Amino acid sequence: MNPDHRTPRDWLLARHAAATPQLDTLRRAALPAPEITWREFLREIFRPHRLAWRSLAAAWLLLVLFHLTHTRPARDPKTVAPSPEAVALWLNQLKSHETFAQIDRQP
Amino acid sequence: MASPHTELLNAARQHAPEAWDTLLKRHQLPLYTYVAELLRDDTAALDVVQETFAAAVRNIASLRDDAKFASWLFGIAHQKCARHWRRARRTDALFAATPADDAPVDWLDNDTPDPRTLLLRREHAEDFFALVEQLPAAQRSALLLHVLEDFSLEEIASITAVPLGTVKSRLHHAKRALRQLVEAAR
Repeated sequence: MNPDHRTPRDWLLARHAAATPQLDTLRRAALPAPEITWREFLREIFRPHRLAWRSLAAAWLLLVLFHLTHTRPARDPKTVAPSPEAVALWLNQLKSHETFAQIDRQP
Repeated sequence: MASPHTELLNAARQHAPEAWDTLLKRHQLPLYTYVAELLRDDTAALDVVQETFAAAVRNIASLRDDAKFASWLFGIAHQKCARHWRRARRTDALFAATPADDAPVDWLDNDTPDPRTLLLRREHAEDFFALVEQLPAAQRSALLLHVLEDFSLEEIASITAVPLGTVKSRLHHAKRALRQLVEAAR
């Protein structure tokens, strides 16, 4: 067909064809957001930065291990045996109390 | 088995972005051309097309007949154009019926050329554009819908929300003007 001979439709479309890039932009902006499942959602979060997530997980694991190996378990103060110094101090105080009691009893 | 078009629309109803991309891409240039030629304002035409796309995605559930997706889409655009003109207080001038709309016409008049199959040379294309611009908006709308997407008279009546007889009358007058153009070009 002679390119100079076109139907009115062709001429009309050619007249407005320059707007195509803008129409492409409008079309993409109007597209609905895809509906994704939880599995896809998690995959989208973790997959693109797999190395970063692995490194973070390894760091946390190291922190937990360090915490477990370098921290003494907490103890109930009532079950803890007193130190010898504390026992000596306590006995001294007890003797002092008995001495004062004897002085008080004397007429 | 469902046709590819029906499958595409079913996917669009499930909000599949790829399906919408295909559907809208197929119609975006004729739709924009229709709106731009009707409003004669490129910026407003882009706004109307954007609103039409958004409304189509939002209201796909209202499409009853898959085969009529194109006319449904153009119907939305036509309503948006009417609203645009209403805002500009020009609605009456655009879509109001004219006495000629009610005049009985012979739609199958063999002397008038079919604008869909007519071949125009480059120099006469400008005359055609001028003719389209000179037509009253209602006739211009009917002619553009007939030429751009090959819509049937019933579909044009549905898109423009006017009786079938009115569409026939409007197209008849538009084609008569076109015949004068063709004769002048000879």
